[in-house]
Amino acid sequence: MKKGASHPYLTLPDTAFWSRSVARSYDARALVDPAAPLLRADDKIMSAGSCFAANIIPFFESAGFPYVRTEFVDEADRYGYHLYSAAYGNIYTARQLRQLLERLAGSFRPIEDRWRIGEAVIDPFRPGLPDPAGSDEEFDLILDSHHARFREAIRRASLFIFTLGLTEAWVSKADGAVFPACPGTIAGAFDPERHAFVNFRSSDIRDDLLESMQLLKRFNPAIRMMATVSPVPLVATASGAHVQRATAYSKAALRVACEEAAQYWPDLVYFPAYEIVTGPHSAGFFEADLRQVSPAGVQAVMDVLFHHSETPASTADDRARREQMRRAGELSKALSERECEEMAADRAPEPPLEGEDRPAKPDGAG
Amino acid sequence: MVVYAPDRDLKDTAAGTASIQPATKVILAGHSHLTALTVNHVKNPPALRALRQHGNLHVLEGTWPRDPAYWRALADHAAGAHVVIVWGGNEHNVSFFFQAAFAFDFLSNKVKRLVPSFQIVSQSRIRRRFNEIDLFELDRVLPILNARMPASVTLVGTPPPKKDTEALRKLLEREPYFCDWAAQLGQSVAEIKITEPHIRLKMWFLLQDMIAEISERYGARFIPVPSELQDEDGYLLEQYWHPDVTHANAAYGAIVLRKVLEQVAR
Repeated sequence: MKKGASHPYLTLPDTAFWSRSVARSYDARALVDPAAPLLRADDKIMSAGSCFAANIIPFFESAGFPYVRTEFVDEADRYGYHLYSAAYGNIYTARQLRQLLERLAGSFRPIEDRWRIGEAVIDPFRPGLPDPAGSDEEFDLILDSHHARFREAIRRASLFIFTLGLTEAWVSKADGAVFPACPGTIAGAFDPERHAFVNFRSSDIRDDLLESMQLLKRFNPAIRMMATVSPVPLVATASGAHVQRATAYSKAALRVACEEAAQYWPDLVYFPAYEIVTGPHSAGFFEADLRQVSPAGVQAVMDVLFHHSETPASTADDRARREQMRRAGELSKALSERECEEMAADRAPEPPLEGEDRPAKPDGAG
Repeated sequence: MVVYAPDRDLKDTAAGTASIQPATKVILAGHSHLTALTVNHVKNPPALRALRQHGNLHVLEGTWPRDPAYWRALADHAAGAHVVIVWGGNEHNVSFFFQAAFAFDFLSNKVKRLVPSFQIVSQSRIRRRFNEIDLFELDRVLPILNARMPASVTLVGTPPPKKDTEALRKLLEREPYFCDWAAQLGQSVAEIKITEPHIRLKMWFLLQDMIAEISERYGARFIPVPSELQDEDGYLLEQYWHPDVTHANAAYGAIVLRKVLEQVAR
């Protein structure tokens, strides 16, 4: 350094320098510089997003943060609907989230809103949901109930965590409605006349995030949002590019969108799950398929998140309530089994039918 | 207030039933609701017992819960006989008597009432659960019976739900075993939420539909619960309650048996 010279880098902290904070003395916790705790002691969490979003839900609950649940699906479902707050399943793109929230607000109604397959009426926006409706009337009732529970979850939550997974999506040509999966992959049938591929730009995603934030606040003015980018690579791309290159574009666009949206709206914070898992110190954070995040990777993310969070205030009530509900199911089964066991014993107090043979008593007295 | 049928009434209905003498062997079989029709004893291996001094009415007794050996024994006796089965009947109670993880309701063509604030689930979800419990097994048993060339196979409707929730709660409180069990799970019988009556009724109607559908699939006759045993909505009339949460009494059984014999054995 020249004697007497001065420039802005001289006053920057170590975290501004790769050599001091990445090459040496790396601490993933330093990736976050929150102005406020990421999770507050009294937070009630709601989350949505890609598969990675589902992976982190159990960590909130085991740490003691209440996870809002207003709609229930059997745990046997293949696509993880039972994991999320209101059985909406994976929401891969910001446009899909925005449209779902617009539907809750009554400002958007997809034209292609159901698929009739045999006797089933399938929801294209929850195509893997088990036990579909059997009529339009039933479909409408279930959908209305789902939307009401989605709104209720937003009202109850104080923090909405959204993990952005994809830029690529399949939409209805009629109105741009985003399907969570390409028609024909989980349910329905792909029709090139009706369905089109899109690859969203970062500016689209940013605007969708900001619009989603506004919509969330319409239902719950106090709600905050945390945005993350899933570190999980694309399973496949329809963009025409190599899947690794498509992944690089997708993650970069999502990352830019989060950064810009967070700069615009103070109630929206970005959490660097993507950087933690994919950074230079991430050896062992992927499974053998080089795609799924390993338990160590997920743990590393949650360690950083919880490091920058307050200790949960109280969860005893919520946990007790959930446990009580689970036990109610056990009791129903126990009751029926018990009563059937009792019926197995001879029902002596009631008289037999006329002429009915009564067996001799065990002691031979009868 | 639950009023139980006095013995005099039971004898009256039994007398009416006894006048029907089947010309061909009739075998009664099934799960716990069979005990409303006839006294049952634990028998291992399963064995036929004649129900009358003179006549062709029999019950197949066996161990509880019913196991494959029981249904094999029924098949072994089925040739040329009228086989009458009281299948299941507690499927809706096994999973849903207590309001478990969430309050739900579903669309029914039999019961119009719907609570919109409850989570609305599909009928197919309830159907799947009933199938998982034991209806899948009925799908296996009926073709085995048919292969033995019975005179006929009949499935009998199972007792409707009991409407009075507080009366049911009192019955629960009389079961020390269950109270202890509930207490160990942190539940109080006095406070535990029992599923709304109209939802239990819907599930029962659905269960009857499913048993009827399976019957039809295998060419079996389905005899629904006689309407005289139900109130205007479809609940089990209180005079036909057995003093527990799920079962009907012998007065109920006598009326059902009369209906069965009228259709099967005349």
